[in-house]
Amino acid sequence: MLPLWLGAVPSGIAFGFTARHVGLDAFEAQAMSFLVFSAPAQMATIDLLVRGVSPVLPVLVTLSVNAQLALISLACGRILRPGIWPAAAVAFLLTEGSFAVASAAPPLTLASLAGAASSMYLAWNLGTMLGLASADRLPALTRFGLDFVIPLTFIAVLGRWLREPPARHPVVVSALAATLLLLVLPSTVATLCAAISGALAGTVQFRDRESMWNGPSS
Amino acid sequence: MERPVILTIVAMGLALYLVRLSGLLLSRISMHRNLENAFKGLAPATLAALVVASLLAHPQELGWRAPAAVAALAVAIRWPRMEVCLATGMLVYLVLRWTDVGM
Repeated sequence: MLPLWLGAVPSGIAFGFTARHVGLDAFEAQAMSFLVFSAPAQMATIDLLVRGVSPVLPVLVTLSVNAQLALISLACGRILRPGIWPAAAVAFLLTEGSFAVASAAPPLTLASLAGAASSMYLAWNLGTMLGLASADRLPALTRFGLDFVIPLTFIAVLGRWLREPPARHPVVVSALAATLLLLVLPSTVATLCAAISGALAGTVQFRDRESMWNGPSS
Repeated sequence: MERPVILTIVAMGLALYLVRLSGLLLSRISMHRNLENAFKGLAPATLAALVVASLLAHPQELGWRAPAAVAALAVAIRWPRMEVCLATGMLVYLVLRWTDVGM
């Protein structure tokens, strides 16, 4: 469980700190951690929320960066075969990280998954709270280009994915497509089109691989 | 900022909850292999597109941010720890910015 805490608390601090400085208020930032509970989705949508874009885009980005959760959830379901109410409760807290930790000590049970997931949820929200509190005490950092932390967070996650060859195709194709599409399309449309083209390009590479690729823990 | 932000956050949470719940409840279905592969590639592809969009959104700082992003990526691939990646990227960015190199 310790690795989960070591990852979740600092990441939560980074999120809370960044969210506050980029322009979300403390209530909104903490509400994201309470209700969304996804580091990539929260970091990816801070800027969109602050810019006041259509609500559809943050929701689509949230779903896109968490597409893997559908597979994790499916894997959990196949192993655990939970009833409706236990599934409804565990689903709220399910992450790749908690699934990985709970699976590391077989057999995977609903109780072990719920324990790992709720522990990570507490750590993430505690980290967010600490980040928000520290942001209010360090206001001068805003002029040092702190918004750059957001793409750096994506890069940190990408780096872990890129250690696995199957992710390279989608990343390269998506980055190239985004570079070209951003010249001719609005930013939001270009980003979504590039992401979809990367995902489609990735199917070509994934198809040729026998091994199951599970991606990184978050 | 407009107040409907909190409604958008609720919608994000609800959408993600449904994704998390769907697999648990629909575990008996089998997903087409191509769709499964597209799901695997969508998350890294989305993040890559967001990084490019973020870099190009600040053309006046591209000479500082692009090298910092490359350095951060190299570190992230070698050492999969978020704080090391963030520190490297911010350090390169701030050094280039303060020394005015790359512009």
